[in-house]
Amino acid sequence: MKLKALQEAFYEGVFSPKKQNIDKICAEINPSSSLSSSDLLSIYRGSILGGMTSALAQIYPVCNKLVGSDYFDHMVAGYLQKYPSGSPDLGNYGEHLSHYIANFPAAKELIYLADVALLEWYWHRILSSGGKPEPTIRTISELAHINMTQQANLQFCLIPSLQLLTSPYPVDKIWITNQIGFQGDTSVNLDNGAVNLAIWRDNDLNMHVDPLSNHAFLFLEAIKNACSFGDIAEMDFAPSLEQLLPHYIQTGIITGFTLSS
Amino acid sequence: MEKYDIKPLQGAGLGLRTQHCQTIFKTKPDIPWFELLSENYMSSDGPALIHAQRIREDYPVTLHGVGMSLGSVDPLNSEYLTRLKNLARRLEPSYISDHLAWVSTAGKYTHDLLPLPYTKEALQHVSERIQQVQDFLGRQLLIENPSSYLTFKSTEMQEWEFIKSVLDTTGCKLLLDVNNLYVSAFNHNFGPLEYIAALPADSVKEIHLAGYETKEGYLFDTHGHEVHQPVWSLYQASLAKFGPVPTLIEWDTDIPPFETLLTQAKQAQLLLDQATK
Repeated sequence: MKLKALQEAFYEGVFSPKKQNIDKICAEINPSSSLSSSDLLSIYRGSILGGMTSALAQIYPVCNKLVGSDYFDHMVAGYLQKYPSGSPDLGNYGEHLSHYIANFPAAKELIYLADVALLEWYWHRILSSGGKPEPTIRTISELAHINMTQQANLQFCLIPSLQLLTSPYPVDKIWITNQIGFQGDTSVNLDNGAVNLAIWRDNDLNMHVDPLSNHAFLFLEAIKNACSFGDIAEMDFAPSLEQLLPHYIQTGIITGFTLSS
Repeated sequence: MEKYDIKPLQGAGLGLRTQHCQTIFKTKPDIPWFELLSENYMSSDGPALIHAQRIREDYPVTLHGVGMSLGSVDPLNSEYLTRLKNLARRLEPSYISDHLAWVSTAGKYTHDLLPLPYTKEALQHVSERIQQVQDFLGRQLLIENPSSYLTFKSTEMQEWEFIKSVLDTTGCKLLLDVNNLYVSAFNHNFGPLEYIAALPADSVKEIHLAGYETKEGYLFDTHGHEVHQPVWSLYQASLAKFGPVPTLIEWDTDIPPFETLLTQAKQAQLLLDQATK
């Protein structure tokens, strides 16, 4: 068997362990003095799937805690088959777990779990990625030099780490009460209503999960979608702009602006 | 232009692990160098890179990767290599290393170091890729012998013959993982001393030491234990052949307190000092 076919057969024997796939690769493997070809392949299967499952458990510690590690391992086993890893960095794996959980029949009763997973994914990515603003944007102090006619063409810029999340469930409360070492009231009422959240890291590398009002969420979402200030000023939440704009400049979520011609 | 004072690497270093960073920053331990896992620092301005740069201010470093997938038939991952090159530009590592293994196929990554059949086809393929990587990075690469649990029927030569040919063809050097050698020798019933004897004396530029686990019918390389006595013995034999090569204590799972790693590094340093005399 040529190298390419061997590697493909090995992969199938690990990730799609049907009899025909296992037989195909095991025909290429020498048995050892005490272990069959299939046993030897199983060593690699256990190592590969165990390593990827363990990585997901580290990225999604709250989901793992909420369902228990046995259930978590069972749940992600299908994910490993359905969503191959496309990056050499294991830290990039697991982006679609929230979507997978939302469609995982056995987790249907855990109606909040997919949104908790999304919050954990955002947290993980923000924690490990860079967050410096683009050097080409204008700083907020330059706003004073923008005249009235230019204002409509302004596009505000957000700190690159910012992710917005909306959920019908209090996922921020679920997330915080399930952190290691959390002390306090652990009761969560799912009927408390929807939450909007901003997840981000400031320039001092501190992480934040901030609740947002509906207007604040729509405002930041509009900026994230590259709406001009002219467009934003015509949106339903425009009367709140007087408070929203200085607040998010002060917090550091709005970092600067660009001006289209 | 070089930012750091580059001296030849020597002594017993440690693999940098996130949970030990603050201890290292506070205590500045007497360790000659640190190894950084390349993939952990490839984000251009992530906090991990800030830590790495802080370490680099005080210590020489090497970059050791698991994602190059040198044995894969996939095209080389140009984004990965570009990030690695940029990282090397920032940190000026003494060595860049990866494994003689494949990790991906058809763009799908397994995140494990999978064995190659030691065939002429694989030899030519891996050698070409190592040359491409060295040309791209503009420097010599170190390749590490993997631990393995199976061999293929198509194999045409011994692992040490395969490695020697790769070194001869590409000009790269070997990162000899003595634990991996011991594990593979046990699993495949060959003599590790024969392996060492077959390699040229100047072929090994770095050594790794780690711990394994004994399973039913095989040894499993976990990098989660103290170095076992037979591996220390094999290490001494390696030093006798290759000289006092810079050596790393590698610990990847169930990571212990920093003091435990320091004790292991001191033990390795003792043997290095004996080999120098």
